[in-house]
This record gives sequence, C-alpha cells and structure tokens, in this order.
Amino acid sequence: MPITLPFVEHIVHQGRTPLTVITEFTSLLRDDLKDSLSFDQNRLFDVISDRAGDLTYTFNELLDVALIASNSLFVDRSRGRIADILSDTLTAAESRASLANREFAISPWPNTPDVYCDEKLARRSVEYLLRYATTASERRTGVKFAGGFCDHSRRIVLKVTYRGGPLEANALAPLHLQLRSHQRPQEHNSPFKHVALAAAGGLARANLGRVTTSHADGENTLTLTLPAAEPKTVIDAYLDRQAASFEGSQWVALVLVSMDPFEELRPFHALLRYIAGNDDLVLALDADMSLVLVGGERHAGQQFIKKLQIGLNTPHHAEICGMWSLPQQRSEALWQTLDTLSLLDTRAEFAKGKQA
Amino acid sequence: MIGSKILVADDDPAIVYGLELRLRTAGFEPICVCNGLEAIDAACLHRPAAIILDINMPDLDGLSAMKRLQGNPATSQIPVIVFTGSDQERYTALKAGAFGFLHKPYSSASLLAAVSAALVLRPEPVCV
Repeated sequence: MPITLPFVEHIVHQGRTPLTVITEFTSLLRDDLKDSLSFDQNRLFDVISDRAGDLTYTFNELLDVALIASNSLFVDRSRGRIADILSDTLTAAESRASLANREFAISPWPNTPDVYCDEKLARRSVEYLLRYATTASERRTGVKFAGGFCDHSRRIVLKVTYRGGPLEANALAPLHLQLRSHQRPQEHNSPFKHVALAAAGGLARANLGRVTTSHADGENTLTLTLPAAEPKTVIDAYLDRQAASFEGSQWVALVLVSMDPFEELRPFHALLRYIAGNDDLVLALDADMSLVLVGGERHAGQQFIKKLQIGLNTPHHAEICGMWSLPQQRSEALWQTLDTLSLLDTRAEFAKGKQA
Repeated sequence: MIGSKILVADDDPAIVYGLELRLRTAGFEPICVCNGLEAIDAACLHRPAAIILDINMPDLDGLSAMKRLQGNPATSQIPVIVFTGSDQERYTALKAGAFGFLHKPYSSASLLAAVSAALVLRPEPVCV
C-alpha cells in the first residue's frame, strides 16, 4: 500500500501529542523547581527541551515534505517585516547552537522593505537551513546568519553560511516520495541526507521565493530569497516560479474583475482563494477591483472566469486583459498592460487590498 | 483576569492535566472536559471567560463544537482558542471564528499569552 498524505498526517498527530505532554510536564517541573535546581540539573532540562525540539522539527519536516510532494501545502501570504517574522526562530537557533557547541552569529539587520510571504513557511524554511548548517558545519566552527535586500531584484535575501565541503549538485533536488522499493540507498548516496534543504526549497517556492547554494573558500552559503511586498515584484516572482515549473509552454492570464463596491469582499476573496487552490496568485489591489493572475494551460483564464461566475452566482464582470506564454513572452508586454491599467506603483492600495 | 474560568477540552488526559496545572498556577480556574459534547454542556453551565478546544476529539470534534457554541446566544461571545497541528485546520478555524490557535507542542508562554489576549480583547458579554 503506498504511503498517503493522510497517513503521514496521522503519524505526525500521534507523535506531537506525547511530545506536547513531555514538553509541558518538563516545563512545569522546571518552573516548580527553579530555585533549587543545580547548574547540571538546569543543563539536563535544557537537553530534554532541546531533544523534544528536535523531535518536533522532525515531525514538521516529515509533514512538510509530504505536503510538498503531494502539492497540498497550505499557503496564506501577507506582508510583514522579515526581522519580526524571524525573531523567535533566530533566538531558538542561537540556543540550539550553544548546546551543540557551535558559534552562531547574526549580522545586524539592515533596513529592508516589507516582505510578501506566508510567515510560518518562511520561519520553517529558515529553521531548516539553520538546522542543516548547524549539523553539517565542521566542529569548532560556527554558523553565520545575515539578512539583506537586493535592490536590483527587489528580493529580501537571507544567507546562512558555514564551513564545510562542497554540496552535491543535486542537494536541492525535490524529493519524490515513491516508497515502493525495499532496497536501501547507500549511506553515502542517500537522497535523505539533504532532506532539510529539499524541504526549505519547497517551502520557499510556495512562498514565491527560492533557495540556492554556493561554495567558496571552504564555506557553504545557503541563500533564501523572498519577494518584497510590491505588486510588480510579487508578480515577477510568480512568473519566475511558473516559468521554472514547466518544461513546455505555460500560459498566464491576467484577469480583471470589476466588483460591486457594496458587495461584501470577504467571501469573494475566500472564493478566489478556494478556486486558486493557494497555488496561483490572487492580488487584491483595490476595494472596487481585483487583479488575478491565473497560471496553467492556454484556457486557464477562461476556465477561471467561468468558475468565478458559477461560484458567485452573481453577474460579476470579469475579463482577460492579457495572456502570455512563458517563458517565450516574458516581456515588457505584461508590465505595459499593468501600466495601462494604472495598477503599478500602488503600494498603499496594495496594502489596503490585502487588509480587506 | 485572575480567577477567570477557562474551559479546556481535549481527549488526552495528560494534556488536560498539563493545561490544568499551568492555568491554575497562573491564577485561572480551569474546567476540564474530554470531548466536544461535554465542552458545549460545560460552556452553558459555567459560562467560562475563554475556551481552549482541541480539534481532533471523539464524539464531536472541536470545529463542530465551536460552531454549536457560536450558534447559541449564551455562548457565542466566548472566545475560543483551538489546538491544532495543521496549517489548514488553523486557517479553517480562524475563518470559522476562532479567536486564536495554539500549536502542539505549545510553549507555556504562548498558552498564557493566547489566554490573556482572549480575556483582554473579548467582546462584551451578552446578557441572555
């Protein structure tokens, strides 16, 4: 019997429940005994908490890999400050590195524009990269984390650096969960050695970003990029992902939906989200107007409009205002269309639309 | 806030025990049940200030229990914090009107922060 996503979800649920008890009871005991604990006893509690954290991480990793492989990852993107999003993740990484006798250095955060992402997925991507680096780094050396911004690509750039040998070329290859063979892979060639990188890459893709690796002077750098919360950058990131997803021709349609200004917007957005399955992009730019970018086959745009009309059961006006074949027609035509619609440089409206 | 009744519903007795100890230590008055049906009965009887509800429970799951609580004017204003391990469930619960959510395994800080926020930000109780 093939392993299915519900089975993995069941296993993860069964694992998290006892972990919750272990974590909470340890915490209760520690709080109760805090004044009478010796240094060594405190250290033991640290190790228990750390190992429980390892198990939580493993369950998250298992579930994420299964969700990515089955294309069932749930994504809820919004705008936010990357330094705030990662604050707790970096604090936890610092304490974990200390227990593993590794240095962990965080470069001061520069000012960066807001990022557009699913916060939880962004946190887990960075956690996977940091865990991978901490485990793979040579002893007595450390892990460095730095955040920045690329003004040219308008992407938030997060870098995790550690000393170690170069990674294999396929380290970031997506995992395929076809567990039909009983043959065990050779230890040195195990596809699961880099599972954290594959998981980080999958989550980054869902977040319209990407993970890359590089090696220089005995150091590996794992780089995660995420788009800034600007309409043009987000659309550009979406097109990047769509173009990379298919070997053949891929069509993208820009659909403009005119809204009744008195219509309650919330159910409309919920329906768009449902139809798009969280995999395609929905941009709400204004209270009276929605811009929807639909990726897929040539007629995906028309199919989207039909589903919209059937789902809403109201005479909403929707029209395709542009169609492009990727990657061939990845050109200025898209931006010109957006300019014509006066939808660029509307950051305030973009923010307002997201809040609505 | 101190002394407020907090209803806890989870089918795992050890988790309920942990929550009970933690909430009592923090000065709350926990009321503990082990499924959705008991949660509805206890909410009507005790009118707690907030409810912590597990999603996966026998007899009546957390989401169905929350919908019934929302449908009853006597309990509709009580903020519900759901226990969930899944992003999809979290989203569904929040869309269905949950006040907040806790991931398993939770930290004591996140538990107490969620309960405190629910008590501070909850709407004014409705007299029925």
